[in-house]
Amino acid sequence: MVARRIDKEDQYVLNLCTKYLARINTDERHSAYGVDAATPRARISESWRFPVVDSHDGNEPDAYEWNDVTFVWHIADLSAPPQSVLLLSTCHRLHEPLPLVRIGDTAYFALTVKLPKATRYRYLFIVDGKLTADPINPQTQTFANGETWSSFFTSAYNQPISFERWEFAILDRLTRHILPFNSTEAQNYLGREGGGGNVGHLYRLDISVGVANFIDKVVAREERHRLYAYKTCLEMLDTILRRRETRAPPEAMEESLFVELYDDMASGASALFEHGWDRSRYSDPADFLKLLRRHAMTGAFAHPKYGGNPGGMAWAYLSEHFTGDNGKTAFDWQRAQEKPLGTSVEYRG
Amino acid sequence: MRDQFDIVIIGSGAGGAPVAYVHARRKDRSVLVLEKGPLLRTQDEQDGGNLSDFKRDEMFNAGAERIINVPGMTNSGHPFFASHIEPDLNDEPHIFSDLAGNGPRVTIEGYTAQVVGGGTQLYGGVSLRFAETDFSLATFNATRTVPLKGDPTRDALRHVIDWPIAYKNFIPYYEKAERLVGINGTSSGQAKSQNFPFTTPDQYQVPRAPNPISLYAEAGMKACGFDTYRTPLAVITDHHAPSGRKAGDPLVGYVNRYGDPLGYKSSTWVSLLRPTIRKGHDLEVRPNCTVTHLVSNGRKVTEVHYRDESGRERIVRGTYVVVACSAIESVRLMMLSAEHDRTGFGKAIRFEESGSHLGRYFLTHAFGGAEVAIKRHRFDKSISLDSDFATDACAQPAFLDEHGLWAGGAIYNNTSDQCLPITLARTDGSTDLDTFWAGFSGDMAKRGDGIIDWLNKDFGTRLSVSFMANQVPRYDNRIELHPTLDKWGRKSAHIIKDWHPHDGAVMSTLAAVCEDILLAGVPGATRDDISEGSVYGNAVRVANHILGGMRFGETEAESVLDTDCRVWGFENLYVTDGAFMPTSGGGNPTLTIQANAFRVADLIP
Ligand SMILES: Cc1cc2nc3c(=O)[nH]c(=O)nc-3n(C[C@H](O)[C@H](O)[C@H](O)COP(=O)(O)OP(=O)(O)OC[C@H]3O[C@@H](n4cnc5c(N)ncnc54)[C@H](O)[C@@H]3O)c2cc1C
Repeated sequence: MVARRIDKEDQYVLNLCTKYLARINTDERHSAYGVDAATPRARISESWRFPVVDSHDGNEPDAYEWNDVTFVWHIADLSAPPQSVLLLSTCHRLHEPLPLVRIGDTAYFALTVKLPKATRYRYLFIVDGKLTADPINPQTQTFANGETWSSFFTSAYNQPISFERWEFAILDRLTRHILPFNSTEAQNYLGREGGGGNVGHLYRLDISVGVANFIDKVVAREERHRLYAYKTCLEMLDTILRRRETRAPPEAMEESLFVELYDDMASGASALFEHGWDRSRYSDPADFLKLLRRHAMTGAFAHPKYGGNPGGMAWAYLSEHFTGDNGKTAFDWQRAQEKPLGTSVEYRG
Repeated sequence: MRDQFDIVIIGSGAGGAPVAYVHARRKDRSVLVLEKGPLLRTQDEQDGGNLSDFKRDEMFNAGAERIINVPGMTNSGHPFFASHIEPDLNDEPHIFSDLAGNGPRVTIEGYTAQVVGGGTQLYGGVSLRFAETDFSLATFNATRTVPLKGDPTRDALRHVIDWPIAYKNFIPYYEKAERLVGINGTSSGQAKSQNFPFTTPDQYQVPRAPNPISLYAEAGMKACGFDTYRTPLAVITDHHAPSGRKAGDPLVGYVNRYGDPLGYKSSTWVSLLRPTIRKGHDLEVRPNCTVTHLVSNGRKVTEVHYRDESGRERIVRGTYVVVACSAIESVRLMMLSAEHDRTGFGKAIRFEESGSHLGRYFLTHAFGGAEVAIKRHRFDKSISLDSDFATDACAQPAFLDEHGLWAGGAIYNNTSDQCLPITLARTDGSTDLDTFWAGFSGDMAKRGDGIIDWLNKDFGTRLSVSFMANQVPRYDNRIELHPTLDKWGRKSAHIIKDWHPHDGAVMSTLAAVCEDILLAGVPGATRDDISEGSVYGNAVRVANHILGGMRFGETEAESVLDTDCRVWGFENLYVTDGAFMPTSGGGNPTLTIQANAFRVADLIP
């Protein structure tokens, strides 16, 4: 991949930086549940925003397929700013680092590049000749040789980052049970009117897969503080399910087992603890279920760029399912959304 | 960089921008606006680009969860959800306690938005004038013999003073604000027009057709015998010559809590600041710059200290200094400046002096309403703005007499509320901005078929009617400094407040009227179908209406600002955000903040 450099106004970059990076207080107020304890990012706000992944702002016919990604180097000591900051990344030829440019005399070096959506890259900065991972961005990849690189992904990326296959399987089954697309009524509806059973099936499948993907991404970035909850609880849920049904792996288990699991988590049933939920690892199963419910709902109905709701499918479901008095849809989501996802002739995303 | 201006204005929202607009257009006048938040652009103004920094994206308005990490708070470890232009509560906490001693807790309730345009970027745009009596509630009540409900010790009115300006004299500024900001609505049906007719034609643009669901609200208001009007909304529906904006399709549901990528919503950036800069006037807006304190010499503010976008300390000077950071932050700025220099600035503003009113009579609104799901009909509520119909009926003296209330308020229907799926879930059963998701997440029956049932009942069917009424001013409702430091090492704002029992009476009376409106307007609806309620009992609620704390008045003995909104004790220091209000008015406050800022702008030499 060869990233193309994009010119952004200085103001664009400063708008992305000040709130999160500028400060004098050095308390560790941003290490939710200790995930960033003792690192520089514990002292800054929303470190996950960096590098900033934004819609690509251009006139090309395929502009929608791209993102503008802005890398920022924050000068910690303004009295001794580095002479040069370079980006070494798999999004560009690795032997050809790209320079970040200092914005006036501010505390920020920045570089914006155009990259395809649904991709993931790793990078290092070369600061006055020294290689370093990005001290801001918390996403990293560590390799067999012990090297740690910073990494990031662009919009609608759908390869696994946080979870293993078996974890996805449980997530998928549970979120399918939470969301409306698997309900009897939805199935009837989708089977009847959604152009045949196949389409209905597609809806269900793709949305729950999308939602699991959304969760995989949100715990890698915006809500990293929730990764621990998923890792711990999914492992315990796997144990519980296998204890309850020995003949099939979780992904092939009967629906009723997931219904039971949901109910047990909701009520804190004692069977759950007998079958393997360890309170010392995660005290309240209902808390985990609440988290999952929030993420399922958000993932399904957020803009497709967040990785759930592929193609706006969950919106389309609402739009087809709910009709108004005039026989028209009661949720014409497309008219507000950018093309090609939506049909707005004004809003460009 | 320039460091000397005729006027330095702190904050670019409803209170700051009108002053910038007026003064930058005066001959040979230099104006600087220092704004803490970023300058986010609409689609048509990116340099060489096509896209806006605002998005129709529910993750922008309150997406990811953050965790409160401020030590010593009762809600440390709790989640909060804020938009991209609200502050990080761990960096810049607002701390809340009630008068009974509950707290302290961190809250998002007392912020508007931190961006060029301030709260007007995110607001619903409901732009009501206050009622005539709202300007003189002390006088109005002085001659009444009706006992007030819920005021057993008869202390409800102890701290009420009149505004030192009458509605009549305020009208030209309402008109100016309505014209320059860009508002659609109708004047006929507004009770304010009875004694003082609106101009012909009025200053409003023509509203778009209402969402059909709102017609039930209109019918209900009419059936109750109330005159109605189209709710004035700060969204343009037609070409707006003063700001050079063209109209398009604003009815998209992404209204309240969303910045408008197309600039149809009349934020102070697109309506006042941007056109002034485009015309070439000497107006500079410095975004991402946080003012930390003011320095004075005698009765003059001599320096404005701020942190620039990199966090460096900078100083500018203005012949006049206007503070408009939104009430809590403005009070805090004054107090921090006073702590810097107790004998100078501190004495001049009477910081921590007995009998001082600085930080006192903090106000929001008494609000609430009623809601019903309309059976067998469904509407696309996303094709809408924030509200369609309003009535002034409950601000009229006869109504107040009948119900034993000191003051009333406006009633209007909400149209775009809960029209988007994530917002519907996030606000389901939540009681304030701090409890987003708390209802849905824990409502375990909402799953699969349960969600379908819920959506069948609630999606595109819910009609709510709200009231926005005066809150009783209390000396004890106040803003102080809290030792918790923000990211600049400055003490935080501590908001201490509670409702007066008479607020409870106001709220239950008006909530009952809202219920009556729905009962009368929605065929087949019974009282059992309608839920009604208010924020009484939930003291943390501010709901973005951040008012009082430096009220204006006729004498120094009763106020912090003089009638011109100049700080008593200073020659060149003015306050133009919502802090000036001695009573909070019976309606959403922004139009009145803007109108008053236009008024003050004319008074600054
Ligand atoms: C979601 C939402 C919906 C709303 N709906 C309505 C509505 O329908 N109708 C209505 O009337 N009102 C509504 N409001 C309220 C409205 O936004 C406020 O009443 C109005 O913006 C207040 O004006 P202000 O000048 O006091 O403060 P603001 O408009 O908030 O302006 C204050 C500005 O000062 C800046 N600032 C603060 N501290 C500093 C500092 N130290 N240095 C530099 N800059 C600083 C802030 O960043 C901000 O931009 C709504 C608000 C929100 C958030």
